[in-house]
Parts: sequence; C-alpha cells; structure tokens
Amino acid sequence: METTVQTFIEMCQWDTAKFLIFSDNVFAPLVYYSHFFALITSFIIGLLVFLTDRKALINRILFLITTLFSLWVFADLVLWANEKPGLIMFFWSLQIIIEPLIYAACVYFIYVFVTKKDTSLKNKLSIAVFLVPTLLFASTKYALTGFDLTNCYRETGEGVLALYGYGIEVLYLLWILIFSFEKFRTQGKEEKQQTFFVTTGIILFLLSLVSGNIIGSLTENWSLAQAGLFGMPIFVGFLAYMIVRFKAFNVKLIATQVLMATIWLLVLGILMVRSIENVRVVTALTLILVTIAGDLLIKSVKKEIKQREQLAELIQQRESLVHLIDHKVKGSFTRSKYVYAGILDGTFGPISEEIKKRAEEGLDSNDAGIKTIDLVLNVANLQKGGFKYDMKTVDFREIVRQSIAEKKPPIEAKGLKFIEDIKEGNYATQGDPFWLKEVVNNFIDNAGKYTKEGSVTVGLSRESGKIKFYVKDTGMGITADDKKILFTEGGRGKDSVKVNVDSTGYGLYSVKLIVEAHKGRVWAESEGAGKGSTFFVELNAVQG
Amino acid sequence: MESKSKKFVVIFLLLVALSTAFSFYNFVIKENFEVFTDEEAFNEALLEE
Repeated sequence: METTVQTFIEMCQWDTAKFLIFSDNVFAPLVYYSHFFALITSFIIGLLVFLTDRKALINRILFLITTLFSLWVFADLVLWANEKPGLIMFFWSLQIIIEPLIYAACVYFIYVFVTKKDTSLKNKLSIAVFLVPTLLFASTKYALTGFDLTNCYRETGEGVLALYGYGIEVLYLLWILIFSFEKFRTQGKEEKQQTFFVTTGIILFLLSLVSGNIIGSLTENWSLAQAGLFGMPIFVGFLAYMIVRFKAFNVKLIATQVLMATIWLLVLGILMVRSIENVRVVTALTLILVTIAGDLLIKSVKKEIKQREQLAELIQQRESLVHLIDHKVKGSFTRSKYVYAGILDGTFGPISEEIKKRAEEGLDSNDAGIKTIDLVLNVANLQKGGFKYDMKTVDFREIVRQSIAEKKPPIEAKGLKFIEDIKEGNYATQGDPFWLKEVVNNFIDNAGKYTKEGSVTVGLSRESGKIKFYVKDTGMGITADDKKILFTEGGRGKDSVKVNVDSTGYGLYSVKLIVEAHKGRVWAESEGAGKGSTFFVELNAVQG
Repeated sequence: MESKSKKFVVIFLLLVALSTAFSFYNFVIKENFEVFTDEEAFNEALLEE
C-alpha cells in the first residue's frame, strides 16, 4: 500500500480487529448485541429445521435463507469492526452479492411453500436472471468505486450495481406479494392461513432489511441500517408460530438443548474475548436472558415429552381394551347373529311375521355392531402398523369405477343426483387396492348419508404428478369447529349423529391413516353448516 | 426436466461461490481497488459510475 495511504490510515487511529469482528471501532455495543442474536438464532433455527428432514425441499430453502442471512450479518459485523481496506471492500461486495440473493431465495421459498412442490426450471431462470449482473460485476468499480479515505468512517463508494441491487430487491418483494395474493384467492381456509403467516413473516423480514439499507445508502447514516436486523426476530417469531400452529417442523428435546448450549457458549465466548466494559455488560445481560429462556424452553419440552409418555401408556391401555372388544364383544355379537339367522331360516321352527320382522331388525342391528367393531379394530391396527400394505402399481380410476358401480344405485334410490367428473388420463399409483377402495367407499358412503337432497359429485383428475380424487355433496356441510376434529380419532361432527345414527367418528380417521401410509394427503372444504362439503384425497402418480 | 431444475440451483450456487471467491482474490489478495484520499477525486469517481 502506498505511503500516503498508510499515513492517512495511521492518522485515523483505527483499532486493530481481532478475529475480524472484535475491535474498539464499533462505537455502539448494541451492534454486537443485535448482530450476534440475529446471526446465531437464525442460523441455528435454519439448521435444526434442515436436520429434522434433510430431504424436504422447503427445509433446505429455509436453511439456505438463514445461512445467507447469517453470512450477511457476519459481513456487516466485519464492516463495523474491521480496519483493513481490502477486507472492507471484500465484505461490502459480499453484501452486494448476498442481499439480493436472500430476496431471490425468499421468492423460491414462497413458491415451494404455497404450491407444496418444486417450481419449474423456467420460474427458477426468471428469478435468477436478475442476479446475473451482480454476480458478474461484484468485484468491479461498477459495484464499488473504491475505498473512501477522505474521512475516517471506513466506507466504500457504492457504484451503480449497488443501486441496481436495491432495485431488484423491491422487484422480488413485489413478486412475493403478487404471487401470494394470487394463490391466496384460490386456497382453502387452512392453506390461506399458512400462506398469510409465511408471506407476512417474509415480507416483514425483507422490508426491514431493504428499508434499513436504502436509508443507509441515501442518508449516509449506517446506524439506521441496524433496523434491518430487527426484521429477523419477527420472521423467526412467525416461523415459531408456524412450528406450533401447523406442526410444519418438529424440533426435538436434544435439538433444543443443543441450540441453547450453543447460544450459551457463543455468548460466553464473547464475554471472554472482549475487554471493553460496556460490551461485557451487554453480553452478561444476554447470558442471563439466554439462561432463563433456555431453562424455560427445556422445561416446556420436557413437559411435552412427559405428556407423550403418558399418552403412550394410555395407548397401551387402549390396546388391551381393543383386545377385549375383539374377543369378547365381537364374539357375543357373532353368537347373537347366528341365533337371529337361525330364527329367520327356520332352524328353531316356524315363526310368525311379527317375530320375523323383529329378528330381521335384530340381525341388521347386529351387523351394524360388528361393522363398527371391525372399523375400530382396523383403526387400531392402522395406527400401530399391525399389518403390511400390499403395495403395487394400481389403476386408481378402476378402483373409483368399481366403487361407483356399488355405491351409485343406493344414492340414486335416495333421490339424489349422482354426477361423475372423471377426466381422461393415466391414474397409475403405488398402493394397496383393497385399502384405497376403502377410502373411496368411505367418501362416497358419507356423501350419500349426509345429503338429504341435491347431488353427489365424484371427481378424478391428474395434475403435475398428483392424482386428485374428490367427492362433493350438497349436504349438511361442516362447521369451523367440526373441521378441526374431522380427521381425528373419534372426531364426529356435532350434529352428525342426527343425520347418521351409525356415525362412529372412526371412518374419516381410518381414511387419513390409509392415505398417509400411501404418502398422500387428505382434506375437506366446506363453506359452513348446510352449505355442502367436498372431501379430497391427493396421491402420487406413477410417472409414465 | 425435474433433474435439470435441481441441477440449475446447484450450478447457480456454485456461480455465487465463484463470484465471491473472485471478489476475495481481487480485493483482499491483490488489493486491486482505488483508495481515495482526495474528496474531489472521490466525488468524481462516484459521479462517473
């Protein structure tokens, strides 16, 4: 470096940074506090989510976003603390590269989160093309004109590329908003909630990041850029809400303890390294807060595990009860069935019309009892994986056709219109034909039972590698309260027994277990009580 | 098509790493940048770009 430049640097009397980021050049201890908190929290949450399911694309993208953000925050810390012009130029250019990349990754994230699948190559190219100039010219004078030594602020001059970066960030923000809004309009209630929370979280995070930096660039007041970091805890807050509300990610006790221990050690590390008194105060305060928060978090997770253990004990007790029902109660029903059948076929001698009528009623009631017990036993077996599915490539349309052939006549006999909306196409899927037929039968049976007048529509279509089967009715509909328990064990609708006296609350639950074992998903939509309902099943199609 | 789409993300991230590595080489190792000690020259450079 030239002598004149060296003289100027010496005149500024900058402190020499240790480990790139620790120096007296940082005049506000809040910088360390806000940066470390955002960096550690975001990176560890991203890592934990990634480790819970490494293959899930959404987890990978979230990890990418949190890693990029952590890098951005680290670069920011270096810019605050370091005194070497070369390093300042490099980390400044790194921020110019990373910042729009975070926005682009967020666009990708929202695509995958909302559509529940990877986006097309065309969409990825459209997102990435705007980043090309930044990647090509990040280390040229178009990004950074040079190091500014006309004062002692340790800043660089930003070129046209930096402004271009802020421009595309605004573009990406609008992209997320428009895409989410378009999807939001066509989604069901629960999906709408998920889209709303994730989009709001991302927008708040990105808005605070972009506003801080634009204000910093325009006003030359880089303290204001700190505001950006407060966006991350908001995003993390929304993410935590997602974890609890939608069980999107499953963080376990060990992971929680690792998280707390890592944060604790890192903060302790800062306390050891730094010698400035006010930084010590801030880090000591952080240590106390982290200890309290960590203790509360670990206690709450331990409580949850204890509850799970109690639940496992209850499941064991229920299995004993199921065994009792299987052997004793079902046995009694079967014996009664033979008695009624014997009366009806004349084994016990001639009978009057009245006795015949009563015996028929008794036999029907008996059959309904056996059917219910079989359903409960099936659910118990499905839950504990008591039997193996006979998985093979099957034509799902053929299963639907067979079911329609059996179920259509009784529905039409009830005076309801039966509509078939089956699109042409290949409906091959991997599954057990017996259990898949149970699913289809259950939906069509239910539609017939819960609809007094109007129609029942059975639909089948294939879209983007997924087979979508639905049964729509004009029946009693589903209230918001009933919707929450619809696919749960014993989850009967409040008024369901008024319409269907045989309702057990196990039918839809068994459907859910079967469909999930086939790696599919099941859900229901309804405008409310009396407004009909639509039940959906989505299965993976076999490519070809 | 799906595999091409996945490869694209990996290739793009490699490009990002390459751009970052070049920036490190240019600014930190080669120290290839201008240092402005004169305010007038600095303002002129800003206006140019």
